[in-house]
Amino acid sequence: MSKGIRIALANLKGGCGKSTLALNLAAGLARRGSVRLLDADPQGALRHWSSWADVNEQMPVTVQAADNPGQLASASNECDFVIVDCPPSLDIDITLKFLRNVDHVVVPVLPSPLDLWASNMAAEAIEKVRKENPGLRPWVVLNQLEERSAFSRAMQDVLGQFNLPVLQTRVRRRAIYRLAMLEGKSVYQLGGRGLPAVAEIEAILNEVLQA
Amino acid sequence: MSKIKDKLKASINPLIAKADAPKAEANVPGQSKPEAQKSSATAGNMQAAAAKAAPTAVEPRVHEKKTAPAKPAKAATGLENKGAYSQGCSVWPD
Ligand SMILES: Nc1ncnc2c1ncn2[C@@H]1O[C@H](COP(=O)(O)OP(=O)(O)O)[C@@H](O)[C@H]1O
Ligand SMILES: [Mg+2]
Repeated sequence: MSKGIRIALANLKGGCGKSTLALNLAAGLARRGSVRLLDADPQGALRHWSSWADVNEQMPVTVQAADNPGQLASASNECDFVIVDCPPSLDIDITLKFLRNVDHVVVPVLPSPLDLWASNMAAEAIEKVRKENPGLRPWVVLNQLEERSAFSRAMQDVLGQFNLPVLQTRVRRRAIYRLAMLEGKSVYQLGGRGLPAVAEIEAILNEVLQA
Repeated sequence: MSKIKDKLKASINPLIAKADAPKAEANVPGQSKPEAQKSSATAGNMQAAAAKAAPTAVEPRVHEKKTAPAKPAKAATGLENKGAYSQGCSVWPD
């Protein structure tokens, strides 16, 4: 009997942090149960990362290429949590197929006007999907926040104007996220250096899972 | 900073208004393309578009053209995101 919790990372923008958050959220979920990470982006960034990663010893997360909801269904039968890293589009078949079959979609948004404006399209696209998947819970998360940037501070409020709930948790711009990727790890495997980032990922998971 | 917030808020008003008034003059007047794109994203047409797209589903980057205008503007203004953008779009092509 299924039902692992299924969380997709999606946005029509590339470069907003879908893959970065997908792998770190997966690593955080691995502390709570079994996890499968479905890489639905043909760019295959996370597959490449996992071929780099010490998956068995340090990262109890399996990465699997995925292009159909059947894979999602079997993953959620077999695991407590499934994370789907979607391609940078919200109106193509591959993304829609997954969004129709997940419980949550996390939409990372960068603190810039261009990303803010694109969020409107994201909200519209997700609203359409929710007609077919009414249980879908969308969450916007501000990523690459820069503490001293006025844009960063203003974005949180303004994002709330669209029809999407915004997570209280914000993810700061931290080199450790890139370093973890390069080392084939998540921020959880980087000891003390990773702790501020771990706290962010944990806070996202707590907000989403408690919803 | 609150000036920025006000400006950001003002900047999304037309988007929100557009969403509230669906069909009427979405996007650039005189251009039928955005309209077509828009309607192709409706629930009914998604299936058809999906079926059509299936054989080429491995080439999603065509969809990046939707966000194409962001590129030059970003390079011009978004110093903070420059690295993210350039890396995000070029990680492990293929
Ligand atoms: N919070 C962050 N701090 C620092 N760098 C980040 C952060 N989030 C993402 N990045 C970097 O930004 C770029 C784009 O992120 P990525 O996860 O590939 O986005 P996407 O999957 O949406 O295209 C990558 O180079 C990644 O390392
Ligand atoms: Mg990615």
